[in-house]
Amino acid sequence: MLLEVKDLSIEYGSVGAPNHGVCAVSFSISEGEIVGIVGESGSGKSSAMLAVLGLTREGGRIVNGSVRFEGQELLGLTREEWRAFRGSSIGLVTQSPRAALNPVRRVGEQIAEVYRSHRKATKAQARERALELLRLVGINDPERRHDAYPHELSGGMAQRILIAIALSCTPKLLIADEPTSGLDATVQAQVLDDLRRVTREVGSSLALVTHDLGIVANYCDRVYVMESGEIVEESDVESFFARPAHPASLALLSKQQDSQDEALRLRGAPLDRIVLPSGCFLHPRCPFADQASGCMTEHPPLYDIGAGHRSRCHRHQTVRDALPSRYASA
Amino acid sequence: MQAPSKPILEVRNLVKHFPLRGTSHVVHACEGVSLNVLPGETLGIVGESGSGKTTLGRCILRLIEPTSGEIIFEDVDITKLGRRQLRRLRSDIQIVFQEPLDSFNPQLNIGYQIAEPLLVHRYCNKAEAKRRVGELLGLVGLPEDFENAYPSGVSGGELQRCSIARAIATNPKLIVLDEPTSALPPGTEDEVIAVLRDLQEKLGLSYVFISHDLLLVRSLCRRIAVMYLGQIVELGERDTIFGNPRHPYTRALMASVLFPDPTQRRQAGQRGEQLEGEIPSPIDLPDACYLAGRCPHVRDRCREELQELTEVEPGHWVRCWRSAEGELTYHGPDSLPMERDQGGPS
Repeated sequence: MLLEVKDLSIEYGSVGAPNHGVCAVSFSISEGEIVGIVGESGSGKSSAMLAVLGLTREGGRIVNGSVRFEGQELLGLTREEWRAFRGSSIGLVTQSPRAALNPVRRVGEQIAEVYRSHRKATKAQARERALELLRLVGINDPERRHDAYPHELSGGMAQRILIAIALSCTPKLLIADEPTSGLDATVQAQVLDDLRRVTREVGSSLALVTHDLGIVANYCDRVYVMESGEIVEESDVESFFARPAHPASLALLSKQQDSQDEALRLRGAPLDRIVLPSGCFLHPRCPFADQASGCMTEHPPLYDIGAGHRSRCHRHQTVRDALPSRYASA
Repeated sequence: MQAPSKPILEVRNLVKHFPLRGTSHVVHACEGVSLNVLPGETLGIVGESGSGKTTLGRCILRLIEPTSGEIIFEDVDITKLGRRQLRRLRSDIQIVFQEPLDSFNPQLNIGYQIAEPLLVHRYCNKAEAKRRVGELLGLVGLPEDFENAYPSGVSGGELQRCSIARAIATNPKLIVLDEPTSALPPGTEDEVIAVLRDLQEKLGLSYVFISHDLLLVRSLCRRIAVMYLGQIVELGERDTIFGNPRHPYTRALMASVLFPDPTQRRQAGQRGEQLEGEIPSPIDLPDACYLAGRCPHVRDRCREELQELTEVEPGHWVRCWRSAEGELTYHGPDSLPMERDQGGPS
């Protein structure tokens, strides 16, 4: 196993009454795998993935859990150790590439900078590496683009530069947090195609954080669904889309389908998680919540429903059957 | 399939150029757009950012003055109307913008702002307006006491429903919806779409629905116009556009849709439909096919002459000579990931 996260919990805000951003999340990624982490905004998906790099948003604290990368425990690394680790073993591709790039430095230099800070390389070698990476991520005319400033690039090209930076030290794992939000449809597909191709070529694993199940269905091998700071469903992609087994997954799916099915939607927006509801965290918004099944009183475990497909829902059987056949591809 | 009813709106050869100040260059935002909208139908306008779809929507209301062309609404060419006549027209054509927070005054309550068009158009007196506001809020599925709320106090989806209520206040016949759900927080899109569907059914409204979200357009629109660099490159019934697109740009657009279904996975560079690079700048466009620089099917002739929108079968228009002359071989609906299909001819 390349990455193993166990019982990771992250809190935000005051220590006395914290907001439970991420609650005891466990997941793993094997070598060469492309894993999707999906959820609506506020579900904790980005928080959980950033924690793998020892990063939290402002006011966030990792309060519990373990993150093992190639068997080595990461939580508890010193600042210096983290610095050496980030970017060399795990790369990060963020959204809004123009904000992530330095506007007053040439993009080629920004790629070379990361390479030189982790590897012993001369300036000439780093430049060579930058050009090689530009070619790798599908940029035409790399010599010219090497000397461009971020504002001279289109959104799709800027996103490719971020991918090149993240790949500069050939990390074993690449985390891409909504890498294509804000890009147009045709460009989004091209960038994702290239992202998949390059991770395969360099032999990295890829964690794709997104809210778009279309991306998951098209590019991922396995999927974790997050909701209310928890993993609520995990599965391989085929089994997941054939019969999703959690109301949060159905809600995400019905959003993208030609569906007017009110009965599958969650009510309202995500709640803050300062006081967690009793029972299932989702029950106040869930169309399937039911007193008799214990949704309001008992917190559901991740039920195993066969072949590595697991769902954190007392009513997973009903949920699986609720999906109209027109969604189901099996 | 198309009812032989008379269009409520006809746009003929609409051109909008924005001059670049201090230069002789112009931005070609709309370059000869022609379309019509039938009563009670939803016409989808799709295209990437920079394709001119928003400019088109605004020209239809003359929020932007078109450079040339005709916009005929119920037999009247509105490009020729004076200010007072135009104002009367505005109660018949309305628009809903992308970002509801930007289209409401933060310091006035919602009820006042929904009533404003009623009073401006002398639709009724103040007392009746108050009653009508309650009715309008009911139509978009909101409780009456929303009239006392302020824009900052309600959710994005609710506020967008309020702007729809305001748009329908004067009983318009046509509403231009300019990306009405793109700026909303995730999860609220559904409620807005449900309201739009419901109103269309109840009030018989016609919509021009501008969006970049192909899956949404597919679920909502009966006919679809695809725009690229200020031109309509393909226009037809929804099932034709999705099932048998003939313009290379439409085909690239369709091949880029990521369906939430692993059995319809998109293949990288799907069957030679991918375009080179990204949408170029719309400044000083050549007298040639605008897609020529990116098109996988390009020939010399594409670089030499402007393309005309040609009717290739009844109600299906394509701006590509190779397609119109049957030079591009297509494989029917099965070559696109509409159905479960992995292989297919390449």
